[in-house]
Amino acid sequence: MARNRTDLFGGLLLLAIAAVGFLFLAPLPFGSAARPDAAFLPTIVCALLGALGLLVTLRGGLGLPDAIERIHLRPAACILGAIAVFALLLERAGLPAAVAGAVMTAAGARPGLLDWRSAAFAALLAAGCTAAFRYGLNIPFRVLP
Amino acid sequence: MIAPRLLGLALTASVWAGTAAAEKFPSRPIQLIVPFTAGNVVDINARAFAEVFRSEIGGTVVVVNRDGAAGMIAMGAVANAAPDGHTLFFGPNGQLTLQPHLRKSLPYKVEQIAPICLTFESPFAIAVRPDSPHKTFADLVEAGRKNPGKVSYGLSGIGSVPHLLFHMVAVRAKTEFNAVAYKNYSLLAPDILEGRIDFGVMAFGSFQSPPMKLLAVLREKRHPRYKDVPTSTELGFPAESGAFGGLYAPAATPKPILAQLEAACERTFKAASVQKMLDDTGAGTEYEGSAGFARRLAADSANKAEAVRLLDLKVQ
Amino acid sequence: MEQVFDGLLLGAGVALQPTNLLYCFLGVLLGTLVGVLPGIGPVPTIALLLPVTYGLPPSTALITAAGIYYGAQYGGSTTSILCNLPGEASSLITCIDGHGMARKGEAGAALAIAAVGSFVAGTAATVAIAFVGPPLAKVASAFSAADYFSLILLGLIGSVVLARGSVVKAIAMIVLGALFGMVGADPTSVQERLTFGIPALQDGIGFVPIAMGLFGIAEIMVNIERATGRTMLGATIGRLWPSREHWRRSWRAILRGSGIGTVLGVLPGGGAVLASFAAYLAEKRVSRTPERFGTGAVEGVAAPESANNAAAQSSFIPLLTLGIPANPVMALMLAILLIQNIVPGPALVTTRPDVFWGVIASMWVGNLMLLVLNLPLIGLWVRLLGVPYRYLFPAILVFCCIGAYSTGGNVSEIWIMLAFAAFGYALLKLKFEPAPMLLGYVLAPLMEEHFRRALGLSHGDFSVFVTSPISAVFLALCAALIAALAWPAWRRRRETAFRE
Repeated sequence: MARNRTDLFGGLLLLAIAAVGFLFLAPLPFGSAARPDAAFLPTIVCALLGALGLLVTLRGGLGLPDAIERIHLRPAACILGAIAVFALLLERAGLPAAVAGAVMTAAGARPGLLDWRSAAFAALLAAGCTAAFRYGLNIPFRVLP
Repeated sequence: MIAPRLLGLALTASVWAGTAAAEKFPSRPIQLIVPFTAGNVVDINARAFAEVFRSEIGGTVVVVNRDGAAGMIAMGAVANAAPDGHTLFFGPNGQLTLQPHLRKSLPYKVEQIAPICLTFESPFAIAVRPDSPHKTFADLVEAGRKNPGKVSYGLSGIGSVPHLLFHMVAVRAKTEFNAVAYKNYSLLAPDILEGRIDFGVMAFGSFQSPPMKLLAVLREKRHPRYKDVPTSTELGFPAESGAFGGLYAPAATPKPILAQLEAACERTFKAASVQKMLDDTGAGTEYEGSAGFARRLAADSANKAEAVRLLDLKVQ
Repeated sequence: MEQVFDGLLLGAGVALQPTNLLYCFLGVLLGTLVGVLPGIGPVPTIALLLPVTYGLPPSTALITAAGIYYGAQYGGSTTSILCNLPGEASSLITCIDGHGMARKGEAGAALAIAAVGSFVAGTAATVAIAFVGPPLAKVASAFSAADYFSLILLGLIGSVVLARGSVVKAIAMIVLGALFGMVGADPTSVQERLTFGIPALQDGIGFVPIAMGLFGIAEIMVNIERATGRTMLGATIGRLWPSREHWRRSWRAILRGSGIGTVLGVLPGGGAVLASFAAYLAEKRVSRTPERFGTGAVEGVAAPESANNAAAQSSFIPLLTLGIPANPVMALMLAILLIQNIVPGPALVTTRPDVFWGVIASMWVGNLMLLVLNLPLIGLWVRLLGVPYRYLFPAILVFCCIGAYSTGGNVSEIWIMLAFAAFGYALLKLKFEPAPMLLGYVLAPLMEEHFRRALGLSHGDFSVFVTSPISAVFLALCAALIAALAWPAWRRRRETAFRE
């Protein structure tokens, strides 16, 4: 059974990506070696990726034992969540709300960070970003909901 | 200085226009969405246009660059924006007249867009290096007929407006040329000058520097900047319409606002600074209002449909 | 020779006029500020100021824009070193060892070496432009599509050198990056590839969302798991200035980087990226301790930072002497000149010597100003690392989001950044290195474009790649590099086989 888990899962991930690539490149014109078309090089790259994925997977089965470092769900979810909150709020509620929402979501990443200081910082950053980017650099952000 | 005086005149005009309009428009900053990166010829003209347009319309006008996907992202953003005249498209014709023939799905419908005014043209020309053995366009056609497919030319992309335009010329000349795509002209220019490629089909604004020799302009009438260069129509190979463009709004925008925008656009177009920029970049054209612009777009669309069919282009 | 000195004297007269000095200073200051903000580079900033330039004399307009351009280069290295956030492709390489130094508590030294290296490189490139500009311009026009292809292939193979861990995994990352780089519209036609119907992907995956996701944000996600203290890197801030040892290790790297950058910078289309990258690889190959690279080796900061600044400078050469804009910033410079009714090209030096020499002289003045501006700022930047992590990381996240959005004015770019942050986190957990992947992503589409163009020009004849002398040399170097990379592994295997 597999001992090197980072290689095993890494190799499988590469194989999966190569498979998706093949699937979506299949309908595109391939051309020929002398006249390569849209799918020519990407298909070759996918084939290479598949071969390397296989190699890494096999190494995973044979290599030295290696466990995957623990994944901490809470910080990962809060940081990715902060980006999502920003993206969702930006065009609906405006820049200040998006900044504040992202800061408050990110504060959940570690216990004890969600307090009045984070809220004050969120408000400060929202005001600062709006001043600098909307009015200073003239990037047309929506300001109010 | 003329500029401050012009500015003063424009301000008076806008105050007058503002009181004449029944409802308050604009009520917030107007975005001119440009489908190219900053520094592109169209972008530069959009910025010169916006400088004057803001005083003509009486509000803030911001140029926003949303390049990518052959301008379809920008056009989609305008088509789906609130139809209140605050989100406008400033760009060429291809998104309305070419892309619908190439693609099954677009992020917008052609009917969602109302043309307001035509303000610029991007003509294309056949350029060779100054010491090229091809002295005239007829020489090129002759070379192409002798060795079909062996004479190569550079252009911005397969399936682009210059490609379709020149392909129609080649079809009429009953020859075939080898089209080689260049994502940007900065690599095409050295290839032409060093003789690695025979000629280029290049947009105005891209061949003044480095200097090249023009054999023909793909246009009906001679271009005022290049009066001594023959046009493709003169040479017997008409190239119907190239790239032209101007201002567009979402089609559902209220009629009075569209009229207000069109009037402001016409005044802006006549401003000296806007004219100078159009002239400097070789993008000058005759002004068309909404009706004339729509007619040009419809004719161009039919033309592009035919070219796409002849070339058998289709996006998978 | 004498002409050059006369010219430089004339140029100094132009560049040292009080108004030009003022505009140069405003330019470099603005450039530094926008360079620090991820995703907001020199192009939108110069474009925003374009209408202002109508009213300025041509040399002043150009000096201001040029100041923004290299100011942004200096500013860009700051975020790469402090936060592992490369603002553009040419500062990608700096992240590897620059941020490595910051992790070791040597952020101040890294910033100082970067600033001094950039200054030396700027000086060297200015001298090169003045004395050998026209011959260097010949390099730019001599490169055919086949030559570019072979050069970039050499770069891609060289990316393996970046690997610290498993070589097979590094190669897999380069190939994966190449696949990501090929997403979007095919470079020669209207076909779309691997876009899954997402309009934002039609023009490819943007550099800013992929680089910030994989580098900056994935880094934050891992840091926050490991962090124990109140500050970001956990390490002490350490000394502000480089030690004697730092200088001893980096002065040769600075000179080599300046040379490589000056030559490769003249290539239109990717000159600065290739330069920073080539300088790093060269440094790692000549180093007696290549194993230090990737963990905060000072040469790994000095070489690419010098190279990208020299390249930024020498990218003016094709514009000033041939009239060919080598990158989007140069296209804006061309626009500024054309608006002023000046056509750049071989005749510029005689028709408008004030503009030609004024700009060249101002490059050196601007670099000096940047050095004077940046050295005192180092203390401030480094102190930023001492800001409690709870404030710093949300702020970086917000700046990344704003940067990703402002590149195309599109919320989808933020979602793409999110996807790559998650992917980058997974890669770190699976012990894959993101740096070779980003290089594959940057170089592969360029390689494909030149490959297909070379075959288009040769009517499908593959012999162009060996009949062109420049291309043949690069292909030979590729073969030599593969041999050099494979040899130690092969020998090791043979030795172990013998022992058994």
